[in-house]
Amino acid sequence: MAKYNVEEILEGIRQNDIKILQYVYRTFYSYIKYFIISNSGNDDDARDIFQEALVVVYRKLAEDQLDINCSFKTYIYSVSRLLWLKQLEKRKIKNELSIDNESYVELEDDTKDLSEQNEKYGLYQKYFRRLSEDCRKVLEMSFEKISLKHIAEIMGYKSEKYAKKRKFQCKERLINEIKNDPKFKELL
Amino acid sequence: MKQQFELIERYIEGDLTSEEAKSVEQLIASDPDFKNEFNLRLDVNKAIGEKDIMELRYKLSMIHRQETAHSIGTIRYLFEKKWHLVAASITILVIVGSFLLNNLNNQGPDQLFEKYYSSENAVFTTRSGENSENSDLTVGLQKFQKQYYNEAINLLKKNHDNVVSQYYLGISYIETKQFTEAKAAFHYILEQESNLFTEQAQWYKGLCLLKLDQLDEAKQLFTSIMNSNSIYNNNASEILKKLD
Repeated sequence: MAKYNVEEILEGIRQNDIKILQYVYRTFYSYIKYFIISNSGNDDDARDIFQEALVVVYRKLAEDQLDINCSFKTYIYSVSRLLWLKQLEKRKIKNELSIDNESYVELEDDTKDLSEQNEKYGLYQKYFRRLSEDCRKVLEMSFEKISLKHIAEIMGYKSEKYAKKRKFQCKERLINEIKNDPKFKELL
Repeated sequence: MKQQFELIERYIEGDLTSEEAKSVEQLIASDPDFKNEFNLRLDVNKAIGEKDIMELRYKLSMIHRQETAHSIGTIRYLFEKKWHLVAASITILVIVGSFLLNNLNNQGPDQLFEKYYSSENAVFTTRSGENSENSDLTVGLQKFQKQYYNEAINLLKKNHDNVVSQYYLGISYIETKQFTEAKAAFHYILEQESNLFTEQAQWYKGLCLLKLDQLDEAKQLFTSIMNSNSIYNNNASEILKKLD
């Protein structure tokens, strides 16, 4: 397997490059998984934390707020560690880590806020993906500022008025699903 | 409540008169619940707009599943050789377990289907300029990837004689609960000489038969899967035990 340096990895994440993402997964996931499982987590927690840590890195890159002075392994371990400590706190499990062998760095101040926003948006996006196909399309198009008239044409609705009604119904469905998730209250 | 929600939505879209907008702003300033509702709706809009992040999460989930579950592996190389019309590199990954039912004790054919069906997905990148020869297929696969199954069906069914097209058509039919049509698509693939999708087509055809309650034919097919080298042979043998 080809090896990549930290700059190449960051560029790959920025570009959503599947080859680099695969490399990152194969190279670093096992450390994170070992850390999570040794500290009261399970396989699913490890998967979620690793995934969210990478999304946090992506968000930082997108905002040009990432300046890594350590190896990628150390950085992704530090972000995953922060996310997992937060989870332990939420689950009211003592957040002393029994195994914490890898080196880690102090993260930039905004990382915590960013990770909270990330968790919230992750929940919203999860329910968005679960909406019916036509609801997703209507909401996507209206987000892209496509006119109701045009939406009605594309979707084959009989009128602009119906497109408007449908859009509202879809949004309400999404909001309701989100509000019914037990995690929603925690995130407020 | 509904009226309030509608007011907020219209405010976000700039669809209110200046007087109405002012009253919304006053409510945001004075009523904490209203403010929370407003912030939630605003955030949800922003979240829906994050296509790049959704794509990243999707890819990461695919990779995780590929690395940890039954991996059919990367068949990019084979694809480029066999399927030169569409210059897309496809990695087929199996999503496992997302449709597990809670109650697995009561396992009729429907429950078995739910337990074993896992939608299959493709992560692919299309190289621009090389894909003009079969754009229905290319666009169909893009729709499939975005889970717009109805649109994918309309495009993919135009390629009657292409196993790739028929394969994703079959999965799209399952996703939209059109099991007879799905069975036909997988049947077509099995009629062709040995190809990349034979094992998958057998497996999904078997699951469609469960759903269609055509149990004799299902048993026959799962028996032949069980007795082959298929990656699904263990699953097939589990299903057969439960059907008896």
